[in-house]
Amino acid sequence: MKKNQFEIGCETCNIRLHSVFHVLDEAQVKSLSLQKSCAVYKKGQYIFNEGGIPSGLFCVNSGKIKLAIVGYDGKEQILRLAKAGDILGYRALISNERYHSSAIALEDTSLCIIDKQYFFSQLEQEPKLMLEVARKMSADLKKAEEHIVSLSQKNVRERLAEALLFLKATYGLQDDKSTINVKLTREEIADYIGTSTESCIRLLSEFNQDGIIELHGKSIKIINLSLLIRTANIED
Amino acid sequence: MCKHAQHLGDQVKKFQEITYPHLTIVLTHALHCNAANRAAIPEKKVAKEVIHAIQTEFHSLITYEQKLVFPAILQLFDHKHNSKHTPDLANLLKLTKSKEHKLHGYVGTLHTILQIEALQVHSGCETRVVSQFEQIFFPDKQVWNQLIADRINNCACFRKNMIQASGFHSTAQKTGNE
Repeated sequence: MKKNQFEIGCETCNIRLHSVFHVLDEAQVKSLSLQKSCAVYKKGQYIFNEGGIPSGLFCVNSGKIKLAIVGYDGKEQILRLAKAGDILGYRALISNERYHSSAIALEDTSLCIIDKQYFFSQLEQEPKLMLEVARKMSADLKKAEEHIVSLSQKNVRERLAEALLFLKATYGLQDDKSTINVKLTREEIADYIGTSTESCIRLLSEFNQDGIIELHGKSIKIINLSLLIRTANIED
Repeated sequence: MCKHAQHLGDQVKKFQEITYPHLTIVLTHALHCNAANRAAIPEKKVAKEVIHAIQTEFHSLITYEQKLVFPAILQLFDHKHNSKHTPDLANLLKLTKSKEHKLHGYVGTLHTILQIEALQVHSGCETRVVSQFEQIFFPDKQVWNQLIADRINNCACFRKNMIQASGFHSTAQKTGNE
């Protein structure tokens, strides 16, 4: 992969002040500057691949990067995004494992790579840097946990959308061509989805607010069928 | 009764009384066996999560098929069908095939995870999920889907019901397969 080289000293790098390296003193910054090499990646270029062996720590100077893996269904799943000042590849580096995701430049991106051995020696010598890296890991872990919660909620949303499509296909629509031709209690719908009645009521209300359906007692009117199908994540 | 409806009814009975209960047991067993070893091997945890996903999708498929899809299909092939409303068979099949496709993806993922060296031993229960889905569920579903496709083309009762649903009078009313 051909990369355009660029060099900027860590001493004059403003982005460093927003990264984990802001805790280093002048001599340490000077030393860091000698141990890194920098490159520019074009939009769409891979910075590292899933399964690759980490050789150092990436520090983003400019641009945006996505970290993604290929999910169970073969679709790409974006884990998180990185921007200027973020460090990349630290999880695999610290745990001495292969990369579990790929990093791909979303736009033209410049970043520096800091030698693995040098990074570890700095961690051992500078407790403040170790603490900053731990803080960064904690923040990313929090984001990952929030992501898991949103995914599980999304999953129930998918299942409600799917249930409404099944009911529409089975019972059809009333003369107005949009109201599902069956009246079920919230409890009965919850049984189809495999969730609690309370969650079902909350999700139906969310669908109502999102303009997907309209609720009239037990009647459900589909307002936006294409959005309902998208929400159900139905594959052709 | 239409002979095609009878044949489909037999297949539904096979799903409900043999295939689905058997696979439910296989999944439950896979989630509970080797519990002591699982904690020691991180990949086991991942395999367990995938089996959970298979179980959720599989139970969801069973629910829709038993409550909506199977009754709707049998109704469409019944020569005595006189309900005002006719189920949208194409959409029902599309929805169920989408769920089968998801299951296929999950089982494939589980198969890949089980190739990891650390899981080569003590993964008999998990491997059984893959083999039973591949040897029983997917082939049975293929047969079922082919059966439906054949019946759509050949069953006079089905054509009569579809014509009635579309509001036209049928000339096929006396040509059922009963």
